[in-house]
Amino acid sequence: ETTLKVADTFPPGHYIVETGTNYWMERVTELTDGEVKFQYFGAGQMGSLRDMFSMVQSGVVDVGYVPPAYNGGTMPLAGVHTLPGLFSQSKVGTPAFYDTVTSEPILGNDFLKNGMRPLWGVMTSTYNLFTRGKEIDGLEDINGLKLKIIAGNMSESIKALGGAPVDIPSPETYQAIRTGTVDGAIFPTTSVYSYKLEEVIDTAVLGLDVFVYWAPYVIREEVWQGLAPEHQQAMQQAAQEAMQRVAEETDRSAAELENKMREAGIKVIVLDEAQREQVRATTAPVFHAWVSGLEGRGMPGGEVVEAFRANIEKYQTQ
Amino acid sequence: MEYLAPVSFLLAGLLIVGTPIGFAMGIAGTVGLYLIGGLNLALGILSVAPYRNTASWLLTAIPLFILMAEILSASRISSDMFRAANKWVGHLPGGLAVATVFTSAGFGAVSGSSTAATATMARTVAPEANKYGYDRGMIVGTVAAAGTLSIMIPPSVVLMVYGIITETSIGGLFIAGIVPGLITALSFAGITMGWAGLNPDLAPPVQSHSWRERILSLRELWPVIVLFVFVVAGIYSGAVTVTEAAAAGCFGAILIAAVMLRRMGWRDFMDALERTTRPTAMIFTIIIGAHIFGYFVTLTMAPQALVSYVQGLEVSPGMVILILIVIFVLLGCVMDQLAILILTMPIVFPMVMELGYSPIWFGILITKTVEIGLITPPIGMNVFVASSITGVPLKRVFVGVLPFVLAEFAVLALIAFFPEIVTAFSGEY
Amino acid sequence: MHPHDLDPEGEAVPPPKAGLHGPLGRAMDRVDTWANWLSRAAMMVMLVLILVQVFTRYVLNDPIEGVIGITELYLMPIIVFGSLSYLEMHDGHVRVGILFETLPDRLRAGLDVVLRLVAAAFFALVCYGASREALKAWDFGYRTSGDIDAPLVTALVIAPIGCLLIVLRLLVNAAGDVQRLRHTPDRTI
Ligand code: NA
Ligand code: NA
Repeated sequence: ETTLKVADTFPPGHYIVETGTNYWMERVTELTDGEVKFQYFGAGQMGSLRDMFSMVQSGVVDVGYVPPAYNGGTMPLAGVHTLPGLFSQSKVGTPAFYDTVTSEPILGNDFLKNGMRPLWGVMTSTYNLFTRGKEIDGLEDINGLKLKIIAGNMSESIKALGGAPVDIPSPETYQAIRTGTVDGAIFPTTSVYSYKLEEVIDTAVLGLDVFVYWAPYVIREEVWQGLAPEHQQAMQQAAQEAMQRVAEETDRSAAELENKMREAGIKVIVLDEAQREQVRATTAPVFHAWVSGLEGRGMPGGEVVEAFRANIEKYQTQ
Repeated sequence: MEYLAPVSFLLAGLLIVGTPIGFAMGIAGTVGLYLIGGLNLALGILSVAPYRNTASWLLTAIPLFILMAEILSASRISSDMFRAANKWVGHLPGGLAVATVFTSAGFGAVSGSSTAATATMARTVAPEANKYGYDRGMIVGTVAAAGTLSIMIPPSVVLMVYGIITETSIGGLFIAGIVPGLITALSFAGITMGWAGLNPDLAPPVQSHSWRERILSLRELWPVIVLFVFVVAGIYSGAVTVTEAAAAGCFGAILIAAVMLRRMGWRDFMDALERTTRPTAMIFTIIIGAHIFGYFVTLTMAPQALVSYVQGLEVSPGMVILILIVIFVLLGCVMDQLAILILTMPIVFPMVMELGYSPIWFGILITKTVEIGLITPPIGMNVFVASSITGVPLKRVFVGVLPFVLAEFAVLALIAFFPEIVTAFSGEY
Repeated sequence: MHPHDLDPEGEAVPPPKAGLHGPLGRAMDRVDTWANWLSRAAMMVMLVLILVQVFTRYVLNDPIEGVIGITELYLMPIIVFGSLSYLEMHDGHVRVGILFETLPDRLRAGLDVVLRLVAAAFFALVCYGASREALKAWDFGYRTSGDIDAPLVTALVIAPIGCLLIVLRLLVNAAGDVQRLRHTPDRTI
């Protein structure tokens, strides 16, 4: 009998925990006839988002929430998912990226080398534009807007689209929009309501898909290798099931929130295919910069982009 | 769970024999982690926690709000305020103490740290109080208690830390703190007047001033008013975020002190920086120690057990809040306030939210218990600071703050029973 | 905080409260004071950078990037770890005074020796762990994450250096307490 320590930083009741993490833990225990059990530390009890990488690596926890978007310096290739406009729906991005990170070169370079292995992860809803007090009709209107971003590729993409990226912490977003420190935010659609942004925004531009966040749980490789093969298999089976559940829930609630915003009187603009193509064309330099930056350091950036694109295509046609 | 009691005793023992608070929590936490998971677990946390807890953008406000207060102190603006306040209320029973309360409230509007405010006020008030023959226990007790106003009246490091841990709007918390802060200040003023009225020997009368002098004394207040407006307008106009407001406040303070009043030169500024680095290092040592100890407590699974116990009690939500307040006040007696927030909020806050209470109201309530903790024995940070600066023995200061502790409980009850005091002004946030 | 702070017109930076008589003690004082100057410099740089960030965003509508990264990765750790041992030089890490203050001077000094050695062991452990972390970042070629890109080791060395200083300072102070126990009359440093 094994008891594994699981840690993440989601607030209690977060939908990924409710539909994914809890399900995954229960399912693994069930599939292994109670031989693998879990001790769960949520809500940042075992450290903040930025601590998680080290907490898993040093063995403080066995399974942890380690998003590459916040660990670009240690997991450079997995950052491919932060490039703009790759896909719109979680049910496409989630399995496509799972296949990508569980294959080389990402698996070895970003995970095994760091002593960890991806268990399962979900793509959140894509990041879109939410503004206050600005007349927004099309992509051109992004020009000159001060927008809350997360540093990294998102910032580069916004610059490519003509915006002025402002790095402020998520909890300050509400006030920053309300008082006009920023004109708006690049935010995941499904988080608009958890940060109460619906009270301060008047316009939503969906289909921009300028960024997406991958929320993965990883296991320390040493622990993984110590598990019986049938237990490893149980974890993988439970992982597939959990990912599907969360991906469906993500897409469902994104659609629901879009309607909710409309009903609340927020002007919702959904970009059409031509406009999305324009976003992709405008942000293409971000891809080139990312790939050449990695290749300059001897890492196969181009190969990773191609592999991820191929997997996206595979799941898009399914 | 079995290690929780012995390690807590170890912590208490370390504290009693005089180990610095941050060190004691770090040492006891390390021993606990070692007991639970061996050297590897302890090292895993020790190698990460100290650096990570300093590498924080949001916590830049701690050194910067202290620096702002130190600049005002270095340029003797706090003394000007105190002199002006004296002209208005000095003739009342316990006049100097009443002036101390109001000056502290005013200083609180430009200081985010009770440590910095208490230190400044102790330096300002002590010489005057000696001159008029005030009871030293009483006046230093007043300084220690009134110093807590700095964390309720915005800006406030405690409200910021609460906001960061619980992801509550810091701007909303700041607005919400104003009215409770003012109510507390008035209750403190009332207490000092009543106390001095009963024992006039403790607080001999100070000379009365003419209305002309009083009106003229208002000129002394402009730097603080300008600075407060500067910071608040900066935040609420959107020019700066709450985090950046601390830097903007320092900038304003430097302008006023160095350029307008010409009272601060390069050396004074360097000294203000020096005075800032010490409490900053002290506070962060405690934050680091609290995190290490916090990891230990979390890994014992005791907090989870406690929460399920309380949730299983089947008592009304109001009763749960009452239990929590009692726990926080008791913890506040024996532990450092930031440490308590760091240790308990990840566990307690979700529970309170489930009960349906306002996060801002709960934050103000918790801040009130923090204020109480700052002045209750055996660990009362403000009492330590005021005592060490003035040289008045700890025991006398603890006696001196006693009436204020009672006033604090009254205001705490007021906020608990009339949440509107808090929510009426912070609704939009 | 010390009684010296009482008089705002007096000497603002109080003389050290703990320490060792002799060249070793003097050398340590100098090192700690220099580290504190780094701390002060980092605070000034932080203040200026944040103001520049506000100015470029609010006035120029073109915010500069990297302020948050530099502040988090380097400046805040330098402010804190640069002053840890300096504060200990002033014996300024806050303690629960009540019982401690009532003890006779010699007993206090004796207790202090033990406490300082225990604290030194604690910080030595932190120093070891944090150095290990920094070395790993160096070996693996880790880079910083976020809005600036640099070798992660450049940020991770700050904590171990600060911890090493406070270990040395605690040992020096413990030696100073031993001096005090032996009734060394002259404690000027
Ligand atoms: Na304040
Ligand atoms: Na206390």
